[in-house]
Amino acid sequence: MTASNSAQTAALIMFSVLATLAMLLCILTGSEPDDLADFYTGYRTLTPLRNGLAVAGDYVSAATVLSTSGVIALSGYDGVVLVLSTVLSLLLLMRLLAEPLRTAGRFTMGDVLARRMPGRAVRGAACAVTLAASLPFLLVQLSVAGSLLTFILGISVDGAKAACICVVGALMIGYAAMGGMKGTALVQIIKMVMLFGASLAVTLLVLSRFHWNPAELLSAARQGSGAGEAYLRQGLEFGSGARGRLDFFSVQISVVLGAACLPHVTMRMNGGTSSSALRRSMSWAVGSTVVIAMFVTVMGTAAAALVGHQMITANDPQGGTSLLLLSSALGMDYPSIGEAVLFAAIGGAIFMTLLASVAGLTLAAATSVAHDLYAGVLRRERATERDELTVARWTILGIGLVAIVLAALVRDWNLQVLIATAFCVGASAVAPALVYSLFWSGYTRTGLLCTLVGGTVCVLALMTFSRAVSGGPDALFPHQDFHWFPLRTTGIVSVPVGFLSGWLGSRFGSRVGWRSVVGALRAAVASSG
Amino acid sequence: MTSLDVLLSLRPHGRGRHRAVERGALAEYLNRLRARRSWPRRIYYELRRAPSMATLVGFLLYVLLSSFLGGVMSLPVPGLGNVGVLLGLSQFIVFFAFAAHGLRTDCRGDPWSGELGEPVEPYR
Repeated sequence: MTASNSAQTAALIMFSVLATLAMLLCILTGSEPDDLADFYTGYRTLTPLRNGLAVAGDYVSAATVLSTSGVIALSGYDGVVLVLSTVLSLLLLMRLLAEPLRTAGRFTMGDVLARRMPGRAVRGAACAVTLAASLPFLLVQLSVAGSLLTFILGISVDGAKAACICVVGALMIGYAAMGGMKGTALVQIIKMVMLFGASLAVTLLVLSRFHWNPAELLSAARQGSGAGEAYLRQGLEFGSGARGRLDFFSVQISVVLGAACLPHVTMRMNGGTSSSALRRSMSWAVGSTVVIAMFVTVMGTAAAALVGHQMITANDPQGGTSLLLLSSALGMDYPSIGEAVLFAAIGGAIFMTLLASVAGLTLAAATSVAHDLYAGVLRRERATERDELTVARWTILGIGLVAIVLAALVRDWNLQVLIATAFCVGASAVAPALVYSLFWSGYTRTGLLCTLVGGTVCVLALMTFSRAVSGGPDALFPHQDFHWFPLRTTGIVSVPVGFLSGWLGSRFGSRVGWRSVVGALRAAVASSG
Repeated sequence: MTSLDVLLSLRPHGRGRHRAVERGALAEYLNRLRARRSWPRRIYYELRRAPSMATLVGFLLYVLLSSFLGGVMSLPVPGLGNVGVLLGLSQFIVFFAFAAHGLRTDCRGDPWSGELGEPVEPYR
């Protein structure tokens, strides 16, 4: 199923207008070449509403909108719980961490952690964890961008996906390097307004199609999904056995604790003009995210009802194109111009979502490299603002190019495992480190390093040998099997490991001594060699 | 009055102030907690003080119920599918209410988070 020529032309015009408009905004709001605070925080000039929309824009990524609507369309109940956990994560950030983060932070997550425990090791570890959480997410978003653009434009030529990834990547580098925090915030605001408008239109059309009766919609979804009553029960996505239940719980833990602790989201807390303004910003952010989440739920259910399981999986086994298929199906009711307008509106909103997500992620990763690694570790906090800003802009280019090349190389792989990895790193390393360093006075430098290193290494090690990487038809390497960890996400194990290693490191680290541990490890390696 | 209290009264902003304040707050908190003898009452008392933690606990209970008591969650509800869908949708409303409440009252998050540790100093 593909869109008509007029719909594809309208979508292409919409993309060109939006990309140009966003680039113009980034150029107009760009910072001076030696103004670090302007580039990293935009001088905290955004009003609460705008900053809230920017936070929500950074939080509601393309993966959130497309993957979650796909999971709802294909698995029903499991997808709805996933949406709830995503919203709850931002709510917890708002209520527990936002204000202390703004007070303690300056530009990056490394600033928050180094406030009480300054040092190069802390800065270096914070940068490594930021990259470990941001790069997998960036890779997924770029890969999704390639798939969706080829689908929307109806191009099936070999290499078209790679070309689309390059175009989106080039725009992403331009937005982040020229606009900085303020420019990307404006792109996020446009994205949120477009996403809200397009989702509202589709939701209203869906509800009118089912006579404003939710029961009718749910009944049609049950039939369209082909699963019957199981569509409204837990188990279609993760399985209903013991392993499936554990996996389901593990995913929810990872999303609730990890989604809002990703560095590109926590970095936005530095954009509030005051604590009071930040509180209002976060209220706007949570409110708009709840509304978008409800729209996504209705649209995913409607995709199951109107498009059907077979058609959705035929286009994308993960259901990533279900929203576009739904807009095409709804547009058929208005064949003259309705299909083109609806398809272009949804396509434009998704395009902006992709662009804004990748720009925000690139900016966060590059900021951490420039501020924590270059200025904090390599130059021992003696770099000039101009030097740091130059490094930040070159890093955006470097990270962008690496991400484009990697995304083009793995464009046909199932990269869902990378989303899980990013969330698990957020939940197992970033969340414990932030909670301990903001609220526990007994937290030490050794404890902090144990949390960051222990949580991240645990996630990466378990994820490598999980079912998401090998041993199943929907794994990253479906034809190989070297898994021994039975779940698809590691949260249920790695989150306790992250918190526990921080506690153990703080309690016993000072007695044992970090240097003696490293010395003992070196001696063990030398003796084994 | 202990020697520490005397020192604190002489140097109210000196070293150890946070620790002493924390110790006092902790003792008061433990006294209040001991007053509630049964575990359910203690848990209720804790969650009432921290609405967002209550939301988190509620959500985790919802996830566990969905996993292990699928029969209960599948009980039909006229117009909304089943109990699970009804509980899920009602959580959306709770989350939205939190956001609207924060916007209207400019509330300072959970008091629980403020009591967890020393106040955060501004970045220097």
